[in-house]
Formats: sequence, structure tokens, C-alpha cells
Amino acid sequence: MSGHGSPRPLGPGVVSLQDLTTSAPGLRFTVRFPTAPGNAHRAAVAHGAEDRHPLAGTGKLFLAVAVAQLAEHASELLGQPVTIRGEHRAAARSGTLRRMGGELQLTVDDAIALVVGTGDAACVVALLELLTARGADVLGEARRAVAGLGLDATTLTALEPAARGDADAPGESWGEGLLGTTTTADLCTLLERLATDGTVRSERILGWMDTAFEPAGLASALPGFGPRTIPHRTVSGFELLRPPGVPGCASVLLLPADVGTGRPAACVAAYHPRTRTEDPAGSALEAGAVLGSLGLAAARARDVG
Amino acid sequence: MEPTALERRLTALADTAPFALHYQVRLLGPAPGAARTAPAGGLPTPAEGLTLSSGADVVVPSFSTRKVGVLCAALALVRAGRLDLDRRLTVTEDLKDGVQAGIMRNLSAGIELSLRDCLVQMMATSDNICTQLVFEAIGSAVDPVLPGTSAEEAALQYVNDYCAWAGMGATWHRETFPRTGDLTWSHPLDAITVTTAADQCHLLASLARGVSDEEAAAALQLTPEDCRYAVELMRGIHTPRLGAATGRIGFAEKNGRGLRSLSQVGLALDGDGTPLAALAVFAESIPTRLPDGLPGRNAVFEAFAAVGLAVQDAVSPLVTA
Repeated sequence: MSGHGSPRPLGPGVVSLQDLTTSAPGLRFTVRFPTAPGNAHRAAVAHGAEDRHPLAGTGKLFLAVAVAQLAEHASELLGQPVTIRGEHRAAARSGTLRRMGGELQLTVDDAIALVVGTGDAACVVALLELLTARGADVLGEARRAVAGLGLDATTLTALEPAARGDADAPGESWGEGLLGTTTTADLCTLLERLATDGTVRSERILGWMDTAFEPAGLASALPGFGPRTIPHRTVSGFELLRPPGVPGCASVLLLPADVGTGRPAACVAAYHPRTRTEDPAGSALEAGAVLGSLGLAAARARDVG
Repeated sequence: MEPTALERRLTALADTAPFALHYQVRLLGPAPGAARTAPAGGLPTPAEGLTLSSGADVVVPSFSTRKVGVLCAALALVRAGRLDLDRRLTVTEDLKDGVQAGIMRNLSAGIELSLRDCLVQMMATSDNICTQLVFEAIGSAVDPVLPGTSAEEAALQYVNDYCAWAGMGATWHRETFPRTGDLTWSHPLDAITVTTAADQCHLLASLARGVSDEEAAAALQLTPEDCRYAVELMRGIHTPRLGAATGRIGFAEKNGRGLRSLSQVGLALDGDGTPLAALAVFAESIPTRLPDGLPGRNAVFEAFAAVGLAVQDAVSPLVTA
């Protein structure tokens, strides 16, 4: 990583995808360039792609898949009102709605967009409460979606504690909704499906991913300046949060194909173990630097082949 | 006089950065009547009241760092009984036009928010829809100086007046919502809100004193409770940069983002939330990318984190056995 005169890495650097297989201890990743008509082919690069890791930031993506799938069976669902109340904010450990005051009424579409785009935990709790009240089995729906997509190494084990409706143990949400394990290969496969299958469900999810606000992780060092960055889709990860007991952080990034330049699409998924447990702030920054370097390397690899 | 370690680190950062770095860092004294603990680890700390500056009087685009002043101006109207934090404001479709910062632009029009929640989002995500609503509320609460002035113009002038009262002599708010997306990298300064690092640091130091000093708070037309509320809102920022790598102190901060500009202003806070330092850092003429291909903004974020670490080491030295 660059360091730019700092005694330890505080930001991303410019490295190749191949270099990242050896220079970032513990980093696991998968980068694929789905070939689209008229676009050049690039070779996939992977490291530890089949190693299982906690969802660690990508649970919200599987929650989005489940919500989008539920909306296929109930077309009015996304327009339904969701009210964010004090108890939802009290259970939230991420996002900005937890800092607000009175009741806030959103639609389901708004709420899931805030989950994907900002990791808003108050929205997760309110959303899952609403869906459960409607009789939806969100965990079951997500598991069916994972099975349908052929993500055989992904195991969804439970809803986040705050969403289980246990009055005696209200629990917390870190903006994930779902807990479990996956691999970067499976995450990358999910991204490929979203990018290429052309279904209404995928388009909805991509739309939510398009709203990621000041994303950290893989999207944190993409080319651009000011508010302008190359087109990309990702999920929130600014805080690179680590709920108690969950090591590491995962990130996903989808760079759409650029027909004008011939750049192919790129699907990137990564997991960083965040091993510096004695220094949480430094550990988060280091993980963010490594993931940012990987995202930039993937973007540059589209140019150089 | 020997330069302090903090001075050396800040100077080195400014000298080696591939962009212009304008800053002011002011170390704050203890609150009146508060006991001051001895420097930890026997290390000397820079003198309280020490102010370190580089290019701090250079006029720069403020972008969203101006929202600290807007926040204080709005709270002053609340304190004067002319605005109510529970006032309801509505996100409309036309308010989304051109907005690139914040989270409300992606949500359905028609959402109702309290003024309090608009202030929360203005400071946490720099939401420019909420900022427009804050100006709308201010415009409804102030009388125009001259007849025929629109509520928006009156609001803008009130905020300018407030900044002048607060001693920010080089800060001019020129729009309620800057259309950053319409600017080019080499845009001129004459149509956008401008400030200086010294002005922003002055406001933050005033706010910090007001946290525990009624007289200092009154100078901002606030109470200590208002000042603590303002600092608390700044602690909720979604994109911390000064505090990105610190562990022994925290930061209440606000960011600013333009095309060739990034800025971060804030207060360093101890574990109890007591302000230890006020600082304003403005990076200007940021290259879109460095020679090696790294986006220039990432080098700036690294510099902001390094400034935060340098301030941490100055105000809360690491205790070693």
C-alpha cells in the first residue's frame, strides 16, 4: 500500500491483481470479467476464493435478494409504508437514521435502499418487523434464493438478533439483516447473475446498489474526483463495522461494461480478516486500504487486459 | 523556539503533499474550573492555546464545511424562540434536482422530517436536501433587511450576518445549495461559498469554549447545551476522516467536497467529550490522480487521517511503560 510518508498504511495504493495475491496477508478475493458482446475478455484472478468466511458486511446483499424475490410475488410490497420508530433506532448500531428523533415513514423500497446503500440498521429492524407481520419467511426466502442461484458454499444461518422478535432478548442490528457464511467465489457468482440475467429482480437490486453512499471497501479508491467516480455498484461499507464475534469484513463491487471504450464488466468480491484486533481504528483503515487497492486494481485491469 | 512535534508533523505533511494544504490547529485550554491532568507518560505536550497555521488565511471554497456555521445559525434562531426544532418540513421532488450529497435524494418525495432531523442529516451525511430545508426554515424565521427580498435571500443573508457576528470575516455564503455537479475542476471562486481555515477554526474554537462557558456560548447566541448539541451532531458524521485512525481521542467533524477541493474541520475530543483542539484542514488543487494512478482524493484522505493522528499524539500522548 502507498502510505505516502505515513508510518503505517492509511490509504490504498496502486498494485496489480496478481501482486495482491501475495502482498495482503489473509485477503481472499475473486475478480471476474464476464464477457459481454463486443467487449474484450480478461482472465479471472482469484485467491482463497473457496475459503468460507462470515457474511461480514454482505448480509445486506442477501437481504436485498430476499426482498426483491418477495416483491416478485407481491407487486405492491415495495410501495408499502415502513415506519421507523424509537425501538428500531435503539437496536441499531449502524447507519444514520438511528441518530434521528421522531417517527419517520418510508416505503419498503426506500428502506431496503437505505440498508444496501448506507447499512442502516434501523431500517433493517423495521423492515424485517413489517415483513414478518405480513407472514413472510425472510430467512427461508433468502435460502431459497441462494439455492436457486447455485451458491452452494453460502449458508444463511439466522436473522440478526434484533430482527428475531424476541422481547426478552431484543438484540442489535449492524445493518446486515442476515447472518451466515459465504465465499468470495459465491459472492462473485451472485454479482455475475445480477449483472447479466436481465430480470426485474436483478435490476431492482442493482438499483439499490447504485445508491451506495460514500462507500468504503472495494469502491473507496475508484478513479474519479469530487463527487464523480466511474460507474459502479456496491453495498455500504463505510464504517467497515465488525459486530462482536464476527471477524473481518467483506465487500462487493460491480463495474458495468463500458461499451464506448470496450472495457468489460468486472465483478469483484473480497474478504479481509482484519487481524489487528489490538487497534480497531487502524485495523479498519488497513482493511479499507487493502480493499480499496483491490477495487482500483480491478478497474485498471479492465484497461490493460 | 523549538518547533513542537505536532508542528513538525504538520509541516512535513504540507510540504510533501501533492496538493496545497491549508490548515489551522488550535490547542484548547481546560474548561474554567476543571482540573488539568499532567501530561501522560512524562512527555511534554504543546502549550495550550498554541495555534499552528499554514495558509490559514487563504480564501478557499468552503463546500460543506460551511454547514457548521449554518447549524449554529439555525440553533441561534431556535434559542431566540424564532424556530422550533419540531417544525415539520417536507422533501419534495424539486429539492432533489442536482443534489449529489446525502441520502434523501434516493428516497421517495413526500417524506416529512422535523427540523431537528434535517440538522442531523445535514451534519451526518451532508444531505443537501436537508440543508435546503434548513435554509427554508431559517427563511421563514428571519425578516428581510429590504423589502422585495425573497425568503431564500433573507436566509442566506442571515447566515452571512451570523458568520460575521461570530468573527468569521472571510466567510461568504453565496448559495443555499451549491451545484457542485455543474462545476469544472478549474471553476472560479466568485460564485460559490468561500471561507478560510482560520475562520472555520475560529468558529470551532468558539463552539468548544461554549460547551462549558455560558459567556462564550452567548457570544454565538447559544447556550452551553446548544453548543454540546452541535458538537454531538458533528460526532455522528458518516464519513469521519480526522478520526479515521485515532483510538485515544475522538473527533466531532464535518467534511467538505468539491471538484479539486476536500476539507475536514472538527474538534478533537477526549473520552468524556471535552474538546481538546479545534482544527480546519483544506486541501486544494487536488490532482484527479497521482502519477502512479492513485486517485488524488485518496491521498487527501490519508493526509486527513495523518493530521488526526498527529493531533492525537499532541493532546493525548501514548503512555509507554
